[in-house]
Amino acid sequence: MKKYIFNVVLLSISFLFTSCFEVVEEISLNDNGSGNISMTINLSRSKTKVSSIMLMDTINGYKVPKKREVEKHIQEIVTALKSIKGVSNVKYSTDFTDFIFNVSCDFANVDVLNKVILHFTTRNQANAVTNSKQFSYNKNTKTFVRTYKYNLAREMQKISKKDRAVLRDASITTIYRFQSPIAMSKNKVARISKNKKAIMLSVSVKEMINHKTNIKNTIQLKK
Amino acid sequence: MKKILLVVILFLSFNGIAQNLENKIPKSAKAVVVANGDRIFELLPMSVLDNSDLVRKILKAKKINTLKDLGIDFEQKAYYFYQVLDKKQYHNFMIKLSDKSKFEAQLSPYQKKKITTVNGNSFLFNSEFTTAWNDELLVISIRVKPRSNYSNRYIFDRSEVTEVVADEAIDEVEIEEVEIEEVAEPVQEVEETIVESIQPEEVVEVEEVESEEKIIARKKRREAASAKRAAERAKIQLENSKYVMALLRGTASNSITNNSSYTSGKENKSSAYVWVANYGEIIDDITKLTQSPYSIYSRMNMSYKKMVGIKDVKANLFFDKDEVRVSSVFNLTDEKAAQAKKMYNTKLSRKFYQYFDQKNVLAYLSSSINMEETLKIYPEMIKQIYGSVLPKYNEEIDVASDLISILLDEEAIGKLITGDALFVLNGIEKQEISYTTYKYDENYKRSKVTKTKDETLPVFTVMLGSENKKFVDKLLRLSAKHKFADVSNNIFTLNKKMTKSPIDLYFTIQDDIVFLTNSKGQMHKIVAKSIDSDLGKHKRFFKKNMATFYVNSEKIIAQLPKNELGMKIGELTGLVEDNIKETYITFSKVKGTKMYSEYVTKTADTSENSLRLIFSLIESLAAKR
Repeated sequence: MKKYIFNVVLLSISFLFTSCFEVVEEISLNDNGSGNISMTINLSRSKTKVSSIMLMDTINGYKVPKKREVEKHIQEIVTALKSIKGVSNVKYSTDFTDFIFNVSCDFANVDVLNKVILHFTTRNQANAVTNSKQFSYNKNTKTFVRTYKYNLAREMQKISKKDRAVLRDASITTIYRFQSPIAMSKNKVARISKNKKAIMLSVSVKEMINHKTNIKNTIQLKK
Repeated sequence: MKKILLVVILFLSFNGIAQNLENKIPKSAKAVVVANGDRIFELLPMSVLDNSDLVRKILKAKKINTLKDLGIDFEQKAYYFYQVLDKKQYHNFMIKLSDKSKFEAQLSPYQKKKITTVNGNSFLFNSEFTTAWNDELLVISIRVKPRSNYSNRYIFDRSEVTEVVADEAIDEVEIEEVEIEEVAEPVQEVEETIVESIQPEEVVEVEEVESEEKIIARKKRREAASAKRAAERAKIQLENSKYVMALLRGTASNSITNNSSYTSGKENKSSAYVWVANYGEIIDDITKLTQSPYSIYSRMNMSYKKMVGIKDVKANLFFDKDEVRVSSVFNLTDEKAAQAKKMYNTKLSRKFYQYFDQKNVLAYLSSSINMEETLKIYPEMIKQIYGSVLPKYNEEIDVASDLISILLDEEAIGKLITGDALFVLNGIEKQEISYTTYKYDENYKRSKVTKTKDETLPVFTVMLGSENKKFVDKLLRLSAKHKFADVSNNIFTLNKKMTKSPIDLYFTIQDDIVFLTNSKGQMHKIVAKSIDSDLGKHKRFFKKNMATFYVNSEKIIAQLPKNELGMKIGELTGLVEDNIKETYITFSKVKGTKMYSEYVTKTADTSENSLRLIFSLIESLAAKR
């Protein structure tokens, strides 16, 4: 009972304020189209709140997953990734102190990468979904394209204001590394590294909802 | 045949109906709510309401200029009462009318067509709703069936429709001219739903094989179902009309005014009065209404009436100059009162006082029970609760409760946990929290970095009475031995990594109190006994009550960082801060067979009275939304 009262007090006060977390998508792409992807979700900035939520059974009508359920879900993703032809070196890490979760793997080509990325966005099996391609790479023209067809603003309208507030300070960072130098990038917010072989794009979810920025990009590498 | 029986009944029923509303409330009512319109509108004049934005919107929608144009005499007493008759629950409202024609003008053209008028008394029937009125009063009666009856009807409608034709209620349908076309509609919906849920190819198959006989049979079933529903409605309508007429005929001799429990609780200056004949019975009725007949509650035939042990409850609502107050009295059964006296007639140990500084208290929950007595009574309570629920297992329950009594050393437990508890919210503070993020070099190579940020967190202290310092000390030292806590200067600090605690926690025991807080500074003050003891009015709460819940909303809102709340929430909380000061609810010790509770919300002293202030506040909040 005391634990419950404590949680209620802690949450009722902390939930008046926004929470924040960051998603980091890192891809190292070789000239032949193979590469490595690393997806990180970092909730460390909101760890007090997340720790408190983890002690509850439900929050805002949602069931709060237990630690073992989170681990099980990540294990399921890892198992699914391992079953994809062209995926190798699958690794993962979980940190329930800072609430940082990472999954990475090597992919044989960009088609495989598209299957991999689906596991971070939906629960469907990657093999079953082939239509929605998030990435494309043309070896001949050396053009790498990151698309983003999800209408975040429309989806946000479907959830309550309270739930939307949780995403207010969230951010998404994409870092793409190449073997060849970058000649041009279409997304004006993206910044090219000093050695010209990496590009970083950091956007807030709020800006994406408001259509101010996007993670879409077309990157032209030097031939 | 058209309405003949109903009209005859109505005609015979009206012989000089007295118009004193309270006299019409039956003595057997289980609950009554009185809204003292005279008092309410003295505090909040009709002219103020008429000119408010909220009411103006309503008036505009209804195309009238003032609330008086609704034809209701708001400045008189209005009543709600609840009665159970022949296992049917009735919720009734009785209101004085000032102008019948104005009231009728608010009815829709459809409703106007449906009015049955006899001897100047008008009736409107709508399923379980019955509305009756005359020149002086309006009665709305709502009949609610327990859930089990609905479930039965649901099953019956779908599987046994062919038997309906023989139902005796059909005769009453003819008398009351129930319109069949209205009830045919839901059947159509059912048909559509079924068709939609069938896969397209299956539909084709069904259409191909369906014979004319089947179509006719289906049509007959549909008609029979419609007739059944119409018959049920007619039956309900007739029963309801009889019930309402009995209410209207009610006289003082058989009214609630002869119930001393009801009359003795009424206070002259209250704006509203609530009376419940038997609290447990009401809970039982609500549970019957909401619980499935197959639930554990229904199957075990559990009775809150027996478990709760509260007889009548009376509460008065007051809107004073700068406070809203609800004074309640709970009348316990003799048996429960005797138990409650042993359990609750104790007060918070004075040792707690030295750690209470009202200047640093935003909210608190205090409670005091006699743990030793509670543990002695507990087995008896188990017998009372489960013995009535599971009469077959009376002997087993008897043995189990005795076993509990044998196993528990009430005195020893009572020393370890005295039953005194105080949970205090001391403040809302910004605390520096470290977190992990990433930094990127010039080529966007990622590396982990630790940064800090300020997080708004509540500072709280929990105090629990314990007279067995030796044992608690051993427990704390054991936790230190196993690395669940670090110990320094008799302060135990929870090991966050080991315990997965999201925040820092410190605990200690001194002066027969176990302390737990998330503030290091607060814990140092406790150990150094440097808290400036200042109880103010709270001393009275601690001494007189077995439990108090107190919230100082003004202080809480003042400490919230409004810039982090967003402009809108910041504005709303600002409004509340300016108008609502503090709220508390107390539960007294048991005196005789009575337990008293007081709910108070202190408001700003800036308006004529608290009702006007709250109304203005609601208006302002609505405008800001």
